[in-house]
Amino acid sequence: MTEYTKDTIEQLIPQRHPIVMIDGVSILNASSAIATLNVEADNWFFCDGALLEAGLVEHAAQSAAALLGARDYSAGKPAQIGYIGEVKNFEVNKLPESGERIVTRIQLLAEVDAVSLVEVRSEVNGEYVCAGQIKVVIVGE
Amino acid sequence: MQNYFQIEGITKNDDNVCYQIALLSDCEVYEGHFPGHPVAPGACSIEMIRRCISMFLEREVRFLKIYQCKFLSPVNPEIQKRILLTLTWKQDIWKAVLMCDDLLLMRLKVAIR
Repeated sequence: MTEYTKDTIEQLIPQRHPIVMIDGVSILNASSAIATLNVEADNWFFCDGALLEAGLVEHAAQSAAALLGARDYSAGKPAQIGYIGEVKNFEVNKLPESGERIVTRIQLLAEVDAVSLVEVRSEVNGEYVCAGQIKVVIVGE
Repeated sequence: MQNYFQIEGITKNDDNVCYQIALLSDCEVYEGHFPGHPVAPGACSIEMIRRCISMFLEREVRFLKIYQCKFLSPVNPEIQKRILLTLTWKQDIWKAVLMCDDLLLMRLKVAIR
């Protein structure tokens, strides 16, 4: 298992302030990881006391990007720019509040060329927050 | 999510509502998405659509389930400055289509509350 923290996460993803939506990731193996985010009131997607649905989607997408980026990083390559290609059956059960810590499990389901399909599920203190599938498209440096 | 977009016009029709929207390329989000290479974050467009539906219904709506959201073309806010959002709905299921001229940018189907 390899762990990345707030100080090293930017080696895995191309996003920078103010839209970094993960603050830690543990790479479990080539196809799964656990990413985290402490929700703070100054988060870009924070509104009326909670993290918005869009923030959960971006968090999920960056969690997926970090899993893919960790592979590149360990091969000595820089973080590649990627986009959300598709969000599918993404259900939102709860909007996390300030001070809560989101824990997200990412599982790589399929990978064809530059397109990766991942399944994500997020919790706060064991409570179900959101889950769904995200397709990430990597376009390069 | 400050200064991401600005609504320039709303057209209400019998079976849909259209928002004429300006994307604001000086929004601070582009400092990080991505440095020196601005691309409109797909998640910001999802929030923009939630705000437009909320405005239309005159209440704060929540997205319960995104059945499908496809991003068909990356959006550069310096090129795709003006976009058109068309919303249709059947009860609590809403569909959104985002276009720039003839270019299809995004398609969304979502259950709201």
